[in-house]
Amino acid sequence: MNFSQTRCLLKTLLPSLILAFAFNAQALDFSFEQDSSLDLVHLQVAFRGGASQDPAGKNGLELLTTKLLTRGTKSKTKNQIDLLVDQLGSAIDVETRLEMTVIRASVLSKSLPDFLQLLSEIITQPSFPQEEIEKTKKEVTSNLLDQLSQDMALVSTRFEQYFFQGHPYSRSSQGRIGDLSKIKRDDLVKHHSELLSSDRILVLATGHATASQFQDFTQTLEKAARGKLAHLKPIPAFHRPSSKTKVVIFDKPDRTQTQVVVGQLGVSIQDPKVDALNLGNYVFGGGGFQSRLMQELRVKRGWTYGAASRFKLASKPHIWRMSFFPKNADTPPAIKESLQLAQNLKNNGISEDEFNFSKNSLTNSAGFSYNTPRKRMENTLIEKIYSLPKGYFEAYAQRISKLTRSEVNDALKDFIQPKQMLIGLVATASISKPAIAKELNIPESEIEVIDYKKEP
Amino acid sequence: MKNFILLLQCGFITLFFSACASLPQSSEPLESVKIEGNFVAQRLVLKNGLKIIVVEDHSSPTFAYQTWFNVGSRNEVIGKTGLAHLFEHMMFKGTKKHPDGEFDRILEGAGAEGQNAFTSFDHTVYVQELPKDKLDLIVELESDRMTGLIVNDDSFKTEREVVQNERRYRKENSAEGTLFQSLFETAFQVHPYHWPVIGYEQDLNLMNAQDARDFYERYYSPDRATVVVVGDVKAKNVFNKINQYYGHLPAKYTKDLEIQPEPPQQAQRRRIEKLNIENEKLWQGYKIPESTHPDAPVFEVIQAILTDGQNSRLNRALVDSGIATNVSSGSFMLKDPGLFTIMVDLQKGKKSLLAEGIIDQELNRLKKTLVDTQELARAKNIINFGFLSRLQSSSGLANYVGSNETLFGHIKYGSDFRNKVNAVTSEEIRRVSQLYLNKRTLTQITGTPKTVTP
Repeated sequence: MNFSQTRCLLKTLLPSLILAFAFNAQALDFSFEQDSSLDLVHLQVAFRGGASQDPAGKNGLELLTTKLLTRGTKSKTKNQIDLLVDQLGSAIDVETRLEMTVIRASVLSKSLPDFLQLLSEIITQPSFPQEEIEKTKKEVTSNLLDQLSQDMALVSTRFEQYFFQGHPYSRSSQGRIGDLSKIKRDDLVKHHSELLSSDRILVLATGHATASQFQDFTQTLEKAARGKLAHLKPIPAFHRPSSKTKVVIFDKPDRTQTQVVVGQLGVSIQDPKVDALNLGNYVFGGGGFQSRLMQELRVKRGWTYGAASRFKLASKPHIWRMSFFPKNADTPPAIKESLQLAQNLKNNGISEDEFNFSKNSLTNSAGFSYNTPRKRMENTLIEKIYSLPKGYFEAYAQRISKLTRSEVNDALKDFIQPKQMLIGLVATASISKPAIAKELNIPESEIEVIDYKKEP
Repeated sequence: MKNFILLLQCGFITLFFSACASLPQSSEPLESVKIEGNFVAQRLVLKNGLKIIVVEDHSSPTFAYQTWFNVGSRNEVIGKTGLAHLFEHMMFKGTKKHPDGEFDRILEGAGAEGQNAFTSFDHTVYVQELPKDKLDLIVELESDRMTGLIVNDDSFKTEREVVQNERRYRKENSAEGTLFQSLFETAFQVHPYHWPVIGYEQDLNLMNAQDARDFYERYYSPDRATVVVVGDVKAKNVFNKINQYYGHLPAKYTKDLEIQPEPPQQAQRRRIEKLNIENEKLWQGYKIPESTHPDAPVFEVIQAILTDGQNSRLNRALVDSGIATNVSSGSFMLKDPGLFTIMVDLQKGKKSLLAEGIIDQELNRLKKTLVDTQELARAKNIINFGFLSRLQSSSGLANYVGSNETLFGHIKYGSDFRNKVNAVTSEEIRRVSQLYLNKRTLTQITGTPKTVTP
């Protein structure tokens, strides 16, 4: 989740005819909102944990386990499951994130009862056939190799892996090629059993249905999870060893353009200063064309097509990062300018005009973060996973409206560390390294170069 | 950009009303077209040719506002490729009334969401979502820039550099971008679909502000535009407000420059692209007719049979079998004859030749054996599901309405198209496969790794 997704607010904007429903079916957490606008139902079954819980050396365990749920149950082969999903007019996707895995499903309303029967079987009775395990591993590996050709995604992944080396947040939600072969069927069976813990599962739904239609489904999950507790490993706070600016190039041949991420340790989603920092970030690089990064790097100089900054929020401080992608010749001055902008933000804060503009913009646009049932379902999921107060997103505008400029500037002053940034690039090192060293006035020997294919 | 038209059978009705006194004077009568569920599109054409389509949806206190212009890279000429897209960037610059930067600033301050634009082969679209009380604001701003834009030399030069960076990002440094460009360059040799929407580097470098002014003068006028408003609005209010701000803008009725039709392809074309990728990629394109052709709906069903859903034929034969990671297909529904594409990401070590053989087998099966009832029903279920999914947000619904109006000339034909898709028979699938999906009209691009990792 990032701040641009957390713009929300104003309870008064909520539609008046929403039937919302929530219960703990014998401890299983279930939320439902009726929406009869189309004959569709959307469902999320989430598991607390995510890739950050993958054991060291087995990054990809959560991903593989949940991907394999749809690839065979005790009574159905993968082909039979696929056929049923299509025949019912439905879709099932599995998304593993850093601190949760979500099974997202959608189905035509008329098929809901049959679909829920199938879904409960998929979740509670997977068979993990060896043949499917091997196929899935190959698919995941090939997907990871394909991602090497997507520079923007690559720089983000490599940056985080490098930044959080040795910490659970270095785990990739897409797994790690080197680790996949070490994951055995027994690991998957054991992990699945751990996933089915009553304090780990959340069920959320919205659409043209009634809450009572989900009763059998939630009871089946509850029965399978009864008496089991998650025992999630606590995530330790991360301390970055280096205290000065560091440049690392993920070296890829033939680049005419450089993908740049400049970042530092961020804040936890529960941090009391998170709203103040959000507003400060909006002025700096989170607010579209009016943001300082966009104005200085794109509008005035034409150096880059995109320029933005954002927080990645998690239970423990994750990353605050700027990103942009200039042509090679413009990369060194663009990095220097971004660091100067960060320093300036720390030293001088934001102006009264910027403060008022951002406050208005964030407040006015807040309703877009919860203006559809599906967005509200997603918000509820985030609230529950991160133990945020109910209505956290709807109350965002109110919280922003109470902020003062000095609160924002004090928070920025404490938070931003321009001289301790990690600068990560996907670039051709032979072209970029000397020019960056010169512009930033650091010895070339201090710039680390890593082959882009190598997983840190 | 792929322009997949997703379809569904729905009880589509068109009701004709005579324009009543409380509505603006129009050149065509007010019409209502049922889209799906409670969604009804109300359509009015102003005297100056501006089309307005409103879909009321009061479930959220917001609305989507989209302006579709009937111009795209299809309207460019050799040597000026990329002009339609570069001009789209210039539309965010100043007018006499609102100097450079003010358009974005006002909208961001008002809480606009998804403020953006995109250019395709056939059209250019400007999109926003806004809180419900900002209708007057957006109508004023959009009408102002429809004819009042000032193209400044300095801002043009800066924006041209921004676009060059976008081109480096989307094409030069992207394997998929390179393959996409290669596919269309190879498949189309005369028609403007040959060149990339973003244009060629050398053409962009030679372009100047006067080119942009000329393009604006020729192609931006109310008679080439459709305004789509979806959300918490009252249709009558929208019609009157838009008439108030746009009604006086003069129509130009400029004709498109003559577009060279693509001659029939007589033999297959193949090209290999050496890329910084780890696994091979296979992209195929078969020539298909324009979107208004009677055979066009059949390709939607063929797509669903071949690649939509885990149980589709090519997913089974390529992904399930461990040969590929992903396979997808789709018809580029364009104004002029386009392509039906099949795209395969091979697994590590697997060769595209193997995938090509399997695709040939599956296409031959379509040509020889009738698809059975169960499989046809599965395909249509998937199509219907996809169509409903697309309508779940104001912007998604506005996009559906705008693309159908622009592509077919009237939203009601979009609904016709959906009905035709649901009426497609197994015999039609066989006939259309035989007619179009053959090697003679195939263009195939193979992406291979520059270096092979052991």
